[in-house]
Amino acid sequence: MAEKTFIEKIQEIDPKILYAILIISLLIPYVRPLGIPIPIGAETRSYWNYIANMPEGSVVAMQLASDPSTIPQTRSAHQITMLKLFQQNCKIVFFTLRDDAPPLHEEMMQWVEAHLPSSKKLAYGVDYVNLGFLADTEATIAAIVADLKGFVEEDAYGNSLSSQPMMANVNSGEDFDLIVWNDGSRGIYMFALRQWQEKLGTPLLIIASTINKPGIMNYLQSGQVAGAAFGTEGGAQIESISGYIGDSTKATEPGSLSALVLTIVLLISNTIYLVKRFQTPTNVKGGNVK
Amino acid sequence: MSIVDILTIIIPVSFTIFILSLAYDDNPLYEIGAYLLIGSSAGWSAIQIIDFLRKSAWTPSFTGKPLYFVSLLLGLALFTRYFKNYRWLYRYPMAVVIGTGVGLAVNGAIGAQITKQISANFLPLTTGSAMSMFSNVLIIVGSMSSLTYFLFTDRFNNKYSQSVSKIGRYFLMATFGASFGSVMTFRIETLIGRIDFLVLPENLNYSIAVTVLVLAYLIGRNYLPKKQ
Amino acid sequence: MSLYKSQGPIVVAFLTAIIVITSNFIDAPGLSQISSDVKNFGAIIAGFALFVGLIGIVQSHANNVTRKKPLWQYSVLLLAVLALFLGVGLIYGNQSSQFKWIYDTIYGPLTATTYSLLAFWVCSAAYRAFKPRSMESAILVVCGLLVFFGVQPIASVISPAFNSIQAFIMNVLNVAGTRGIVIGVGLGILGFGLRVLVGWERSWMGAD
Repeated sequence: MAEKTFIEKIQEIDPKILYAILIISLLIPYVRPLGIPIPIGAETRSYWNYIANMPEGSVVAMQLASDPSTIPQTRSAHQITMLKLFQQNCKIVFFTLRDDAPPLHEEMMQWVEAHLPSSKKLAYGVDYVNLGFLADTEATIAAIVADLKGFVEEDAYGNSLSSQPMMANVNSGEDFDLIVWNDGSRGIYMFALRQWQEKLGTPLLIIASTINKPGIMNYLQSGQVAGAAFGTEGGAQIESISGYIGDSTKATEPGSLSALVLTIVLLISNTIYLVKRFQTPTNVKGGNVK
Repeated sequence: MSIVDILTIIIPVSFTIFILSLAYDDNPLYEIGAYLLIGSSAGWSAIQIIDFLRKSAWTPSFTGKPLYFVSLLLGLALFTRYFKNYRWLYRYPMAVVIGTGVGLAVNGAIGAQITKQISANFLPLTTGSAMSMFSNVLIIVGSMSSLTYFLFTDRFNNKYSQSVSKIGRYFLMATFGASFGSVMTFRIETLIGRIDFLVLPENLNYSIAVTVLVLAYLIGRNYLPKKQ
Repeated sequence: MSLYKSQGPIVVAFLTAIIVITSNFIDAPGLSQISSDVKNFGAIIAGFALFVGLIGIVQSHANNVTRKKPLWQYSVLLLAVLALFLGVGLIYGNQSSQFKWIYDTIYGPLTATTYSLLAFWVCSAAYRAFKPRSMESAILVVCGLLVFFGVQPIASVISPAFNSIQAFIMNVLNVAGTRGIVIGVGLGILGFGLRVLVGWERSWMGAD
């Protein structure tokens, strides 16, 4: 068999070499930080402006559908949003449509309580209520919108929902002023869009992984979604706007360098492909011959 | 550090590297991680669902809503699919789920996915900057032509429709390209999340040690004599 | 087949769907309460449906162990960790620190890392298959690379044009294509809903 040319070897490279290139480009910024500035996107700006302008006493529904794999991307945006809303004396009803999200919510509550000023102490049942995990179906959102206390009689800790002071005037979807929907990578933001925002016109803000960005951009353009923060970049932008610099800002550097390296590798691979394709002679009847 | 503190670090670090070892080669360490994932996921979900059913069905049944016993019975009827003679009972709770889902989807789709999306396409073509006018034209032309791509009836099988459909296909390719770029970004961000965990100061030494041991095992097992 | 085995479920699906649909358009007190209860029932039954899947897993792996099928030892491991989670959850409660500990040490790292593996496969798939073989694939490759790179902060450092181009692709080209898909999907949902309502769609009923 004829020995492979250099170009053929590049085209049929062992995947392990690609993986090694990826890992090395991800690790370099941990050893030598790059100090890359974070530009703020229009959709993140809209998201933050909405949060920052929520009137005191507003009732907000915050849903968390991130899981342990996506929470590094959405944690910053979610917990800074919680903190900002509490600083503005908003009331929040938390719930999750993912069975593995409740512990993540508790971790973020601890972060929020640690970052609130000492003069501001959160009181459960007065400032916030946690409904815990609810079944992951569109019917759940429809049930909440129709009759929240009829659907969920107890909160996540076994307390009667009706006995919580802040729930006295919160009976259905109509009593909420804002929905903040952390979609993770699930793509279930359509539940909130179809059953809540569409029906009642309640403003909807979305925190989601980058995988959902193409779909959600459509609803941002149509005005059905008021603002969004996507992935690690969105989290870093929220950190930058709010001043709480944290893990998302640090995580943008490995992402940036690996994207640059991989883009160069893919460009090289595609250039080689195109050069080979246009160099290969064709016979009279069409098709390529080697 | 107590033994619990050490286990709190070494177990998740080890499991992380066991799963990542699949990138090198399929191996028993990855299999252990995969089976543990399925078992832990099933166990975790079961406990969460029990809690959800307790607060939304069991408790209401005893506190003024006896009708909710029916929901519990319907839910239990799902298990009849494991019994050949009673399998037909499974269809009734499925009917409730399907009927509810269809009703909700139809209600929501008419507004959110059809009328609002069509009205969002009524964009200004004569006001604003040149770029915004150009963008609006592209959105209108692109959305209509990409919708045309999905029309397969004979009436649309002519040269004009096929040209429009071809333009729609190009817009769809741009959409799929944007999706693929987003997927690549998302997957790499997920990996960064795990690397962030492994390089935490309290985990770093254990991460390096376990990585070296696992790599030594993976490389070494290629040189072990194979079973006959 | 008897009426109650084949036609009964279709009638139930029809009635349930009609109640939910009409409650959206007719504001009657009795109807909204019934519709609310129907939606609650749908969510509760969906919760039970997850248990059906869990029983399937236990059945399958218990079978592997009793019949000593290949890799049965891994099935023992699976059932053991399943029992651990069930035991700790039921004894200490799902809000307990013990349950949180096994979540943080076992479930969390395993699930997060399994999803992160896809980063490797996506990169090798992009390297092998992401080629401009035709006009359509060329558009896909170009848009994909521009979005993948342009969204990163480093792209803005190299040139602000990357961010602008990425934003144009996302806000204009992507919206145009996605809108067509979303409207098509919406029409498809209406069509499927109609088929379920009139009883033409029976795949959800399973085999006779």
